[in-house]
Amino acid sequence: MLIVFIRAIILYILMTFCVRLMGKRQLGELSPSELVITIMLSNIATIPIQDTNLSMLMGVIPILTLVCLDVVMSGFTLRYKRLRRLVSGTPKIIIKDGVIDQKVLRDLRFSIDDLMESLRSSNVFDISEVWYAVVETTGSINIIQKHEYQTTTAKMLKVKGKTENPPQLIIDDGFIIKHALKSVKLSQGWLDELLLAKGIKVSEIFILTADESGKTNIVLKDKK
Amino acid sequence: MKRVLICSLILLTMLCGGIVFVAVADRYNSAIVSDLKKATELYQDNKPDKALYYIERVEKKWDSYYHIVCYIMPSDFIQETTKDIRKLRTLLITESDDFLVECKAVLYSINIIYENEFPYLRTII
Repeated sequence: MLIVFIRAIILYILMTFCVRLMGKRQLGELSPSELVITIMLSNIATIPIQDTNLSMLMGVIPILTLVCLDVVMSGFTLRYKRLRRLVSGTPKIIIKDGVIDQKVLRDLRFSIDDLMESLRSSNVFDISEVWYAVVETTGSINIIQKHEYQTTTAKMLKVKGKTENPPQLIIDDGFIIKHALKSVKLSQGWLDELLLAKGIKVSEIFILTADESGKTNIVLKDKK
Repeated sequence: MKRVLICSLILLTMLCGGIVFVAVADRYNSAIVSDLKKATELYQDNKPDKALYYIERVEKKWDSYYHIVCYIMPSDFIQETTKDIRKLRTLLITESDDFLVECKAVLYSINIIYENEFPYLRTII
């Protein structure tokens, strides 16, 4: 039992290390090769945990090989466009000026239901509203609507404004996040003055957010 | 690119480790197989005392080989082979007819270890 316990801990650490090694891309969206790796890893990792007759190296080596190979391949695909096309494929335009490219749809083995579902998830219910729809290499569909259906922007309305940094979390459950304070160009002195004026201690604050203008939002901890 | 470099190093380390392991397995296998064959020949020539010397050598070599091979082979297989090797001495001392059969079984097991490690096309596929 102890062996299984120790093996599980080791493989947990290894898998966490591997996912970190694969980078943030792995956590967000999966390219074809990453999908293959993810499925394979989840299977391989469980084998040496369950079967103590097998050496743990028989699990560790294929895991490391697959992950490292994937990272090295992604490094190569960055440099070589042809390899990238071979491994990840290319984005395909599926709708152009409101007209579905049926050949591409067939090639991708996308049903009209799949397409309509993707359009609806982008708040588009009428194909004629779509200017371009592109099927990305990850399988997701990105849409550009025709000008008349696009969400109005400040630029369209010619409204001038200033782009401001979003508010930052300055105090998290009674702890001051100093780098956040710096990022909104505020000082510890400013925070001390604010708390003094409000008559509250840092330890009493659950959340405190602030932006560059010094506008704050304070949520106090619940009193038990 | 740091990740790519780390991964390349890990891959290279594993490749080197694999090659070193094949070399070590080959060395141990050759030594054990040669001693076993000598022991069998001597036993067949009615020289069990001299054969015993080689069987003891096989036991010693297996003991050190065991610590390496246990990282890659299923433990059932290693335990079975260890049991077979441990039997050899008793069979030899009692001059049992099974000694030669057991020697062949050990030779077969030892060869399997190497065969499983060396990347022959048949073992890969």
